[in-house]
Amino acid sequence: MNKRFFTTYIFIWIIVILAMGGIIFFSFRAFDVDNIEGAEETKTYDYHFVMIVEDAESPFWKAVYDSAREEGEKNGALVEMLGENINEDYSVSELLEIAIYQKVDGILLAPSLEENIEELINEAVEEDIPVVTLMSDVHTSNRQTFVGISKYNLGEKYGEELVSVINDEILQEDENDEEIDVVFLEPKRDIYSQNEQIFSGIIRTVNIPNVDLKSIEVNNVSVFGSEEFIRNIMMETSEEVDVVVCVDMTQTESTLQAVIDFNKVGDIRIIGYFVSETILDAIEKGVIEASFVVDTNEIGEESIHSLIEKYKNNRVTDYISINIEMIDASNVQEYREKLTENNEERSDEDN
Amino acid sequence: MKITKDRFSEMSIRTKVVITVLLCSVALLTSNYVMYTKINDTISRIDSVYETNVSLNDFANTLENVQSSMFTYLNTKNSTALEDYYRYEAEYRGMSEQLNKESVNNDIKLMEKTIYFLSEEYLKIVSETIEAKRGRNINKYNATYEEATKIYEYLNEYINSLNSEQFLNNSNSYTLLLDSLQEFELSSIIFMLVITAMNVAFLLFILRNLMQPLQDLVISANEVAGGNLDIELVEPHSKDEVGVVTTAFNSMVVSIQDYITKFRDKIEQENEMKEKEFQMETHLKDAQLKYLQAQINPHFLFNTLNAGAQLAMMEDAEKTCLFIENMADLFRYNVQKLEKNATLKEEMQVVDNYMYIINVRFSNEISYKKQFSNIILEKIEVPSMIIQPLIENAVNYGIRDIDWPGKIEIEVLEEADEYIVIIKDNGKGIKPEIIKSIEDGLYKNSSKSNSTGIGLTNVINRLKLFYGKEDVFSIQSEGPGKGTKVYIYIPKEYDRINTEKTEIKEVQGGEGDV
Repeated sequence: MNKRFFTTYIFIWIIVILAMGGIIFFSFRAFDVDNIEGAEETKTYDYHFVMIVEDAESPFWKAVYDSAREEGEKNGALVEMLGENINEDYSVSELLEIAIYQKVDGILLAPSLEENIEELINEAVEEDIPVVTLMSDVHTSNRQTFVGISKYNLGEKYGEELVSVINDEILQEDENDEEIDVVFLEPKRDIYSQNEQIFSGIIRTVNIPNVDLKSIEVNNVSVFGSEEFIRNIMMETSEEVDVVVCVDMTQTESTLQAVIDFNKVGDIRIIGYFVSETILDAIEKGVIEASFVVDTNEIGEESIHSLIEKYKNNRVTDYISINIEMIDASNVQEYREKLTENNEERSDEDN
Repeated sequence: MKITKDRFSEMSIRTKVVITVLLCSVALLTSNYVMYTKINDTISRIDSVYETNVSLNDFANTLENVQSSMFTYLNTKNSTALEDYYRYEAEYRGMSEQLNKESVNNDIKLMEKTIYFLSEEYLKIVSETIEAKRGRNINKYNATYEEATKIYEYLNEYINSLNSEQFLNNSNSYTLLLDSLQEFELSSIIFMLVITAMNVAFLLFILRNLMQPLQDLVISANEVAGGNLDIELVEPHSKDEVGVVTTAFNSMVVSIQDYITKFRDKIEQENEMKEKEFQMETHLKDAQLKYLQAQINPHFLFNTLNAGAQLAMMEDAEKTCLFIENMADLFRYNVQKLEKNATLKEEMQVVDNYMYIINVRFSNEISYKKQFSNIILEKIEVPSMIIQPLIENAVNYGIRDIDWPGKIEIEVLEEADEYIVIIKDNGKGIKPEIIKSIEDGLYKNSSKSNSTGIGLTNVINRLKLFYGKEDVFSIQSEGPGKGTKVYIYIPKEYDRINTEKTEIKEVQGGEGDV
């Protein structure tokens, strides 16, 4: 018995030592920081493009950036949202300068209203850096391509929706037979955004009597100015407004919030711009009638595509028109699902 | 495995313990070394974690130096400032060369690229500025100075941001390393505990291996101590010290068994020999007795003596007749009373007979006195043949060969619980050593002539046996020439032992009274 015990004993010893050795070994490996640090494989790209926008944090530009980056990956181009990594808030022109000094391979630019934008664009082009403008154009500059929407076209679409809303409103309130007051909230006028084109489009499309259509310029002086401004308008003209038309996401959300706060849901109808969770919810609940959205994927893809085309085939397109989609109660679910799908795809890629 | 087991059992205890301890120590040391190495490794990694930040700080400082030396030079056209500028510019360029210049999908590396290109541009413009200053082109150097400063500010911003990014990264690495260190410490502790437990278990196993034989030995030893020598001998399991002890113990048990057997045999042998000796003596005595008896037929003796007495009477030899009658009485008493008890009166009678005979032989040289007080002697029971032998001794050893007239006295006293018989003579006396040896029962009288053959030792022994006590007899003598006194102490109360074995029929006068 003694011998058997001895043998078993030694055997157990060996097993335990091996087990402990294994544990130690693997704990070495598992906690080797190198493994964690070097998890990403570094990839070198052929092109370095930068995207310069004023409000990089907005969901709109984020979506555009994501799709641009995706498109860039497919074509060996690294797309950087310039200014993301630094603490200081640089203006569009400052970022543009940095991009020029850096000698990047291409610039996607959503121009701001600064004076020297045109000059800087030209400087970049001189340094052999192609520039693609997004959503707003500086058509006097030497920019290669403009990717955006026709504001007039947008206005027409707004007009169509407005017509159906007004008709609905008339049906509901036909007793009173009053005027229908429509307020068009216009962001600050500037030479680039051409928002007055939208208003023109609306006016041309809405040919209904008893409709008072007026445009109010929203003062964007301070960062939060539009929200305050809209509240003020609400307070002043709340009795008289039936429909509010917004062509900006922030304005849409501010108006939405004001309508809710002033308890005017149902009384004041909103036609908005862009889609966020808030806006989608509102559409679902019927607080917002409809919202117009530009296909951000398309913007990202087309803009990169145009740069690549320039490099690979030296082909340049001046204007690329992007689809405008209208989201209302009928297709909000569908849109939501599509959005979730896209997000999942994106998050898979990010990992 | 078997080979190892055999080799293992052959080792001495010291070797076994040393090997065990060595194995355990090796295990502990190895694990310690491994852990120490790993911990050191991790610590040095932690140390180097913030290196990138330190070097970035240096980088930023150098940049500042370039800018400020340029500024100083522009301000003062100081040649020291110019030298400084060249020096710092070279330094800065060297540092920026270290940065990443490729377009890679890593935020930090991308920032490095930005910094690199910005630095290139910066240095270009700064050198233009310096040139312009040297060429005294005020407008140019003012303009380029502004541009350089603008780029300088961009650069600083980027370097700061990179520093922050790096710091974040490094902190993460630091935290990771710390965590891994702690995890490692935990698993080390567990590992140490397991190794220790294994060591303890191993030690216990070895101890069991050592102790088991000892315990078996203890059990066996206890058995032997309890008197059971027929134990099953324990086989020694190993050849170490304990095995040696076990073997020795077994040998001891076997030796003891042997010894006991031999001893028993020896005792048996001795007993046999003693028995033989005894038998020899008995036979001898038997032979002596028979020889004597053959020589003396009691009937014949009595008849012959009686006839002699009658003859003497017929011849009117009254003294002769009396003499022969005394002889007859004496011999009759000798033969009849050999194994019966007697009364004191009967014993005294015999003494009378004897003394008469003696006085005839010695021509009345020995005076003989008796003093019995008022004691009724018939009532006192004594063993037979005790007084006469004592008188005989007094005669043979005390009175014989003395120059002065011999006297023998017998006195019988009565005390509270005993009678005392005193036999006195005024003879040679006895030396104290001889008295002592007599009383101890060790005295052997070598001569067998001139006596009835019943020795003093025999008398004393029979007295002791009869009365069942030790102090029945004592001798006193004041020394040579001073006489002897013999005391017999007869207790009044004693347990009667049946000392009568066979009754010899009383011979009354013998066959055929005339």
